[in-house]
Amino acid sequence: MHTDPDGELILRVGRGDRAAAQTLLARHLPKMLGLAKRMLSERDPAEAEDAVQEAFLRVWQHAARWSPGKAKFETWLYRIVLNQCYDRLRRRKTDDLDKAAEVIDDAPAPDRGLETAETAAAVQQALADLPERQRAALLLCHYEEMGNIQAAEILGISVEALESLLARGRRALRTKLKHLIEA
Amino acid sequence: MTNERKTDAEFVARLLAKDAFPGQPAPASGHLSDRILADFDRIATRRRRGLFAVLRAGLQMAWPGASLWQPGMALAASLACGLIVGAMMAPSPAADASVVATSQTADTTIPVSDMLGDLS
Repeated sequence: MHTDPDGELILRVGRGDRAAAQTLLARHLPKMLGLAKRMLSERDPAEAEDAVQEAFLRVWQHAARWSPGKAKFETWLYRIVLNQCYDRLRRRKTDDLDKAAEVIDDAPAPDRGLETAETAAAVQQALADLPERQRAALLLCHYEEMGNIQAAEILGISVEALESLLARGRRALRTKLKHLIEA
Repeated sequence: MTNERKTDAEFVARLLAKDAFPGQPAPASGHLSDRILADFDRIATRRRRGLFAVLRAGLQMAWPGASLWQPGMALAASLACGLIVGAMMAPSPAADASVVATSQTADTTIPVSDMLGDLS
């Protein structure tokens, strides 16, 4: 039985408490948006925002039926966001992926040299090329800094299956990007 | 973890630690927060106006703080008790028959003229 820091808030959200909704949003929106942007390869920030908005819409719709003690709210939210990202990735047409290599963050990065920017673009592309579940596993464990148990619970798989996804994803990244470290 | 997997894990950790893909959470635009809260307001308003919400409010007045199923179960339990008690208090078939006989007897009236004939 784990204590859920958001348990009370989501119950209040189910009763129509706007302040509770605002608190939940402030607490989780940045992380979820970051995850969505990385899952969708930061190609279109609006798409990531749409995914997150849709995820929170599901939260508001189901909050009244939330059962405390079954799972942590954050785990549930991560799962909804990832499912929204999977849906969008599957809807993309194959030829759009060819354009992903051209789309780099256009905003000027005054503190980042050209080499760092190129590395970021290469990593971004390599992550985008991974199968979605390998990408999700790597993002959860590396960027969200989750333990294997929590990441496996979010993905709805066993820890062994998660470790297999991580191993394959890391191997693919290393194959594509080893020149960045060796250079 | 095999040596190869360990090497892969170390590689990815080194790569991502180069700040090539910052791990800081992405800041959300104010517009996104406003849109998400507007969704919340819309759903909350719809819930307050629905028939279900009216029923829920009524039940909350009768039983504050209870989940929806508790007053419903109490009502169902009281109905069941009422039916059981009613069934137990229903008259038996034998009692029904005597009631019928009595009513039949009461219906058999002696005409007054006959009664007067006996008295004379």
